[in-house]
Amino acid sequence: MKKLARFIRPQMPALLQAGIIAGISLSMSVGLLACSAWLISMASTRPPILILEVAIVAVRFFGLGRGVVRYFARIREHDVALNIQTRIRQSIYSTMEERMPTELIGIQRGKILQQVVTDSEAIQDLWLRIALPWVAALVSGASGIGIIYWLDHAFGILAGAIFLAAMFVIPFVSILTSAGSEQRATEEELFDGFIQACDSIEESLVFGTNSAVRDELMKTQGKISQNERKLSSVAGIAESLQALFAGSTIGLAIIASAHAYGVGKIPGVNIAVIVLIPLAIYDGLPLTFAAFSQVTTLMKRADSLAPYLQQILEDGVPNQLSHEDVVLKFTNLVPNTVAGRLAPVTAEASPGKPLVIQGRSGCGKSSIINAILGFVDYTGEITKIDSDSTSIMLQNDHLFATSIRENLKIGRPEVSDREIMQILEVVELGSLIQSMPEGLDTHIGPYGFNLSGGEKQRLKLARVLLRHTSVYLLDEPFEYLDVQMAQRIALKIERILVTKTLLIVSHLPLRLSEQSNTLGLVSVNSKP
Amino acid sequence: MKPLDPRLLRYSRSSRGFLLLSVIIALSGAALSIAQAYLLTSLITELFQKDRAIEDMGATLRILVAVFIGKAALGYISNFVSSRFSTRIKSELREGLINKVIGGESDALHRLGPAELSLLISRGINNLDGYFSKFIPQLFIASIIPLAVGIAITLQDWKSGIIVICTIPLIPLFGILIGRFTASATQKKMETLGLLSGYFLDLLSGLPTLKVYNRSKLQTKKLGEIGDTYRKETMKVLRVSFLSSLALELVATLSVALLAVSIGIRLVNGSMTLSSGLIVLILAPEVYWPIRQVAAYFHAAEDGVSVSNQIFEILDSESVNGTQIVPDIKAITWSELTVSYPNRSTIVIPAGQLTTGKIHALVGPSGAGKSTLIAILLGFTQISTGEIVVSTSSGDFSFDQIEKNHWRSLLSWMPQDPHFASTSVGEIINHKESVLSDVSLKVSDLPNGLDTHIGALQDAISVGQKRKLALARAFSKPSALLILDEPTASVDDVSEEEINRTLEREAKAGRIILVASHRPTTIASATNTIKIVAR
Repeated sequence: MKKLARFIRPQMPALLQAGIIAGISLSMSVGLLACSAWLISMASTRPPILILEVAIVAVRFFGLGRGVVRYFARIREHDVALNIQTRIRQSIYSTMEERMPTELIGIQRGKILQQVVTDSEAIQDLWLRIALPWVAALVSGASGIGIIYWLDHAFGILAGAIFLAAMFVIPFVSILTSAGSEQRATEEELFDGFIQACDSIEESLVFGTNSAVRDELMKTQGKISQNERKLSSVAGIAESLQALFAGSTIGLAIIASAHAYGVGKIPGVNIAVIVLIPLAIYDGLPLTFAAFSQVTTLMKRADSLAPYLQQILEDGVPNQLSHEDVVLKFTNLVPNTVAGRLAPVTAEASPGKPLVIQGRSGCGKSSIINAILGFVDYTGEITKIDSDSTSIMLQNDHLFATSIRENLKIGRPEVSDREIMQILEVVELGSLIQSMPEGLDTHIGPYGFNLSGGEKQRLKLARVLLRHTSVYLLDEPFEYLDVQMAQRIALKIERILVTKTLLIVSHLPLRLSEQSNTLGLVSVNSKP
Repeated sequence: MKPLDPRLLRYSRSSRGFLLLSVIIALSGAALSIAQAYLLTSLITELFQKDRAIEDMGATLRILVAVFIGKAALGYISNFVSSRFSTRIKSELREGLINKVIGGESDALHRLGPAELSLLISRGINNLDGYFSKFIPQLFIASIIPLAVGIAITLQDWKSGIIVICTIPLIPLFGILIGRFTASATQKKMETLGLLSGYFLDLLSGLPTLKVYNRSKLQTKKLGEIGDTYRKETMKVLRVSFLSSLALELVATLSVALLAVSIGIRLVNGSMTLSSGLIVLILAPEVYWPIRQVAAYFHAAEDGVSVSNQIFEILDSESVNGTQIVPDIKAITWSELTVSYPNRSTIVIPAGQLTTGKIHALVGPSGAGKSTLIAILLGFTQISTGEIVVSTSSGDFSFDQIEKNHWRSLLSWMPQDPHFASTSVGEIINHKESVLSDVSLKVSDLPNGLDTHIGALQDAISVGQKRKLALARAFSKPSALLILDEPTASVDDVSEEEINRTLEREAKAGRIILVASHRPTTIASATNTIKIVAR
């Protein structure tokens, strides 16, 4: 929470300004009722109409001004809120960017990412629906109390004290009674359970395990309802407190103005003004206070977001790609993730001499790539390779929800359409993409064209091939492809990368040229 | 937007009682507001015009205090009732959804995907909170209080009554007119915001990729630029859409001002009494605020309505299921079948037959319809045209007429992308250890042998091992029909041979085996080939 407060400090003046404008608009409601009360009371004494003229103008002014000022307050609020949103996004991004790719892949798998994004949007309510309306209520209350004080000092002070108490006590009670921390935990439980159930729903139907899953989910849902029932018994406390504060102020206003009138401290026309102002002040409050029930939840969200809120880092400039010849060599290598299960491996890839690592599933093929990239620890020796000279295709590479061209240009922004089409031919996507009405501009992803698993895989392959570097590390580049296509594409890749150092990890039996080496991985404890 | 969906009454038994109580609460609220106005006016006029001492008005003051306490009590009760009912309705809807989805009776899973569906059922449903506990009660308040208060005003002073009657319809009228005018603008705003949020999520999801491509450093500034552009766009839209609330507030406050000025002038003329004037003045805002409050809750309601629409769509979706129970499966024969998916070309599956004791290889390029045929046979996809007949020891059955849950108990399946319940390997294969060697999966390769826990540690075993385990699971279930989707993909040659031997053994034992595959040796080991060609 502190971190969030520090983070939005630069926007504070703008937020406060928006709150005060909103407060002025609320004050106009108070002014409207106060002036009207005076106007009516005064009119009943049948004075010359001229005396009423000022009040009539004021009533009309407040009647008109309320809505207009509110309009500008709203616009100001949303402008600031959107600004903060952008800054939060930038901060989340640059914090995540600092982490290791393997760590990031861990984050992608869980729902942390989705959570971070929704949290960053939800916490907007902390200022838009809670802080700003509270400031506005305070401003309007202060102006109403100010009028009362002007008319009757003593009661003004009393009404002010009651109002201040209401402004602090009611939100406090509201926050206290709504602390539904368990609620969120069980909701997460239901979410996790359900998402797991969804993944395997068809299998559970075939293998008859779905009723057990259903019982489990129903139990969690029962817990959620039970928690909510507990909360509903305190849900109305804030609103009834508000009614009590309002009632007592109005009641005291009647008694106080009666006495003040009795001793001649105020003229009779002011009685209605003093009595009706509290009515106007407290009228708008229930909405403001109701929002405070969300504070606990929002604070938790802000806390879980806190690690991502820091100074926004300046963008760096990517280094130039390097084309110098590199020999990639590893000796007696055993990645720690498969220690004890994989015999030490020694192999080498150099320009024109590609290396294919093959082996049964689970034997540690991907671990070798991760060790080369320094993502996992290992024993043995590996030639250091430089990230500026290496192109990597990982197993869970991401295609962005943008055009095919944009996706392919990530590797090398200056690449030409001609080069792109040449590489698309290599991965056998050329005719498919030419057949698309928008060609390379076709959008892919959830809102665009739906590519099949094999097509996506080949697009990722094209992207890595478009990047000009000296080393290429391809982890399972032919997943989702059949053997014949994989074999064809592998040979073409070998040909175009003949001057480069190429390492392919694959479970498929690939046959490259005679210059290539194949390293078959064997688990230590598997017997021939 | 339909503010109150009739389907709610159908799917939630509790909702009727809730609506009735909401009406009673709104009526009591109206009564208390009117009483308060009368009492305040009487006190003010007695003090001001008749110069009575406050001590003489103890009775009125006591009634006023009672009204205040009544208001406080009503505030508590109305919140309690609405939140209690909201809980109950949500719980009923959640249970309905769980039953429908887990029971496999809805295609929601395919339409929405697991993440979105799970979000809907856990946190999404909470969007109904604001809808049930705030918007719906307010809807009743907004239709009852202005009416009651309007009548009270008219009884006091018919001229003010006319002003109120003339201006009340302006609020919804303006609301609708401007709403229509800004609807597309609001839609656009939601779209840009959604797009921006989607873009951000996409960017974060792709961060590892950007990182290995060394392009991740360039995005912070771009995020700022895009955020700025969207902010300007959104503000343009908001300037228009906030006009609707501006109009609503103008009508409300200007009407009060209009009333006050007209009352003032008539008081000077002597054609009205102070007490009537004050009652009208105190009551006038009460006419307008409930309607404005509805507008304030509109945001919550919109979320609620879109969530309830999604929920009702799922609850409404009817599953097509038969009733007949088949004792066993001797053969499955089908004519040319077609399946149409929205936004995709129709899949055509040529006529074919599956018989016992044989391995049937299902071949064809990816995307042609192999997985579709499998989904049809599993009862997960409906065919658009064509006919499937199941021959059994007690005659032929039309596939449509067969009860699918029982049908699925007769068959076993290995999906392309397997998932396991969060349990041990031993549990998954029904403790039939022999099936592991059938699929060339060595117990010693698993980190904890048969006790290796899958699910909690999805990463404990590799992709290839997972596929073998799924195959072992499929073998371990006694079944007449065995459907295997790419059993030998991501598997080395040695394992493939082992698996093919097992397939032959199982076919000889009298099972029907259907294998979708790309691998030549697997296809070669089949006795029959079903070919699906892409169109």
